[in-house]
Amino acid sequence: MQKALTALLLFSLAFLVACSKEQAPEKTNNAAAQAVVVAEPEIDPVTGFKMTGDWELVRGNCTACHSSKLITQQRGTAQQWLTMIRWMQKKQNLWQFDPGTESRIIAYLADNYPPDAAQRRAAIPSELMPPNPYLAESASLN
Amino acid sequence: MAAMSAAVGATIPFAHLMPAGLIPAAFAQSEQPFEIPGKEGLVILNDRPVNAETPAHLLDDKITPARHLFVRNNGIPPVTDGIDVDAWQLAFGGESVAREVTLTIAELKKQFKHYTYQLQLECGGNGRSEFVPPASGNQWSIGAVGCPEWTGVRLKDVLDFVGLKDDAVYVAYYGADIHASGDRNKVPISRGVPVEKALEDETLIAWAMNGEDIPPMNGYPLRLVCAGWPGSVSGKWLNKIVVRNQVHDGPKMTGTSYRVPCKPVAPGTTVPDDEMCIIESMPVKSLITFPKSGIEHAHGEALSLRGHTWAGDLTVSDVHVSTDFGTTWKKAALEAPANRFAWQHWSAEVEFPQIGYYEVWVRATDNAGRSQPMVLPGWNPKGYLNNACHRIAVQVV
Repeated sequence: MQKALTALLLFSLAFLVACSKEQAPEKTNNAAAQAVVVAEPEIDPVTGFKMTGDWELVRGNCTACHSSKLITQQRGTAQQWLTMIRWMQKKQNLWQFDPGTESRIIAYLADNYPPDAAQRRAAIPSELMPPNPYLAESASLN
Repeated sequence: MAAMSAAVGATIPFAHLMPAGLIPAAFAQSEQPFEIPGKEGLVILNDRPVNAETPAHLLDDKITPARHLFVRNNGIPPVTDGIDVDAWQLAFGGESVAREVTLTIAELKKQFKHYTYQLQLECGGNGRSEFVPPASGNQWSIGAVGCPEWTGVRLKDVLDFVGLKDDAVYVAYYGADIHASGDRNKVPISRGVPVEKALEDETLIAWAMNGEDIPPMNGYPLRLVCAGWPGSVSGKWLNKIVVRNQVHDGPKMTGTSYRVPCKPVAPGTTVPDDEMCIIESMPVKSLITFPKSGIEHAHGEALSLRGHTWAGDLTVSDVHVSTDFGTTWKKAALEAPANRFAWQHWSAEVEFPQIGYYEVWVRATDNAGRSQPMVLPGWNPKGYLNNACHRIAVQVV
C-alpha cells in the first residue's frame, strides 16, 4: 500500500513537472508578444525559497526550528499562513513578531505560496457561506 | 467596474458581486451612472458590453420577472427610446428563402396566430467561472438563466409564409445591436439553428415578455426565442432572418464560439478548429432557489427546499437532493412543465442529524437517463456547458 501510494505520488509529480514544462514555451511567447518580461524569481539553492521580496526575513524567522521544505511544499491564503503562525506560537515556542515583521512574512508566504487553482470543484464562495460558529477561535488578520 | 475601481483609487472588495443599480458612495458624484434600468439585484460581470447574472435566490419565481432576467450582450444595444414599434421591420433573406419579404411588427401581429409559452433561456457559458484552467469570457456562476413567459408568432408560420427552398438547412438571425468597437460595418453576433429546430412549435418571434414589452436589454422590441439551446441562438433586437443552404457562418458561429470539442479532451488542451462542434441542446440542470445559500437553520426543524430544473430539448424525469455530500440522495417532488421548454419546479424537505455545517446539493436526471455531475463536466476551451449540481451552504444551529 505504502509503495503504491509512493508510486502514485511520484507519478503525479512527474506529470505535474511534465505539464509545467509543456506550458513554459507558451508563457514565454506571451511575455515576448506583450514585451513585458516578468522573470520568475530565482530559487535559493539552500532553502528552496523563491528569492524575492522578504525571503530572507522568512528564512531568518521560519527555518530556525523546521526545514524550509515545510513551507515550500505548503500552500495557503494569508489567513491560513497566519493560523499556522499562531499555532506555532501557541504550541511550538515560536517567538512573537512585531506587527510589521508579521505582515511582511505573511505577505511573502501568501504571494509566493498561494493555494493552487487546480481543483476539480472549488468550495462554495465565501459570500454564500453561513456565519462561522468558531470565529472566535480563528486568528485575525490586521 | 475597472474604471470605477480606478476612480475610487482602490480595488473595490467583492466588486464582482455589486448589485446592478448600486453605485459605491465615492463614485456617486460621477457622471457615469452604473445601473441597468428595470433590473434589480443582478450581479454585474461586465459593463461594456453589459453582462449581468441573477443570484440563485432571486430566481425563485416560477415565471422569471423582467427585473430578474439576466443580461447577456455581445454588442451595444440599439437606442429604442421612442421608436415606432409597429413600424419595426423584420427582413427575410438568405440563399434558401423563396421570397425576400419584409414584415413590420404590426403585420406580424395581424397576419399570424399568437402563441404564449414559458420558455427557459440559458447562456451557453453559464457556470464558466468554475473551469480550471480558466476559460476566457464573462465569468458566469449559476445565474445566466431564466424562464419568462413569451408571446409572439411561431417562426414556422412566418417561414411557411415566406417559403423555404428545398436546399434550406439553417435559419439564422441578425439584430440591430452595434459591435462593441462601435464599428457599424461589424456584426456583433449572428447565430442560427438547423431548419428542424427553427420549425419547432415553440420557436417564437416574440414581442412580449410576461405580458409586457420585452426589456430593452433583453431585445426590445422584437427577438427570437428558441429555447433549450444556448441563449445566443435567440437573437435580440431582431431585424433580419436568413435561410441558409449551409451551416450559418455569422460571427460567433465559428472558432471556439459556442462550440466544444467534438471528442472529449483533457483540461487545457488546445483544440484545432475542425475538431470543434457547434453546441446544440443544453444539458440537464437544476437550481436551488429557496433557501438562499448561507442561512442558519434551527436544529430539529425540517428545512423546505425548492427550485427549478430543465434539460435543453428534453424533459427532467427525476430530481434528488443530498445533505451529505452525495452519500445519500432523497427524491424530490417534481412538477410537469407548463409547456415544452418550460422550467419544471421541484420541492423537498430535509432534516439534519445534528448541528453543524451542511451543503444541500440538487441533482436532476433527464428523460434519457443522464444526470448532472457533482464535479465539473468535461473541460472545453471556452468553458461552456457546466451543469455540475448546484450547492447551497446551511449552518444548522
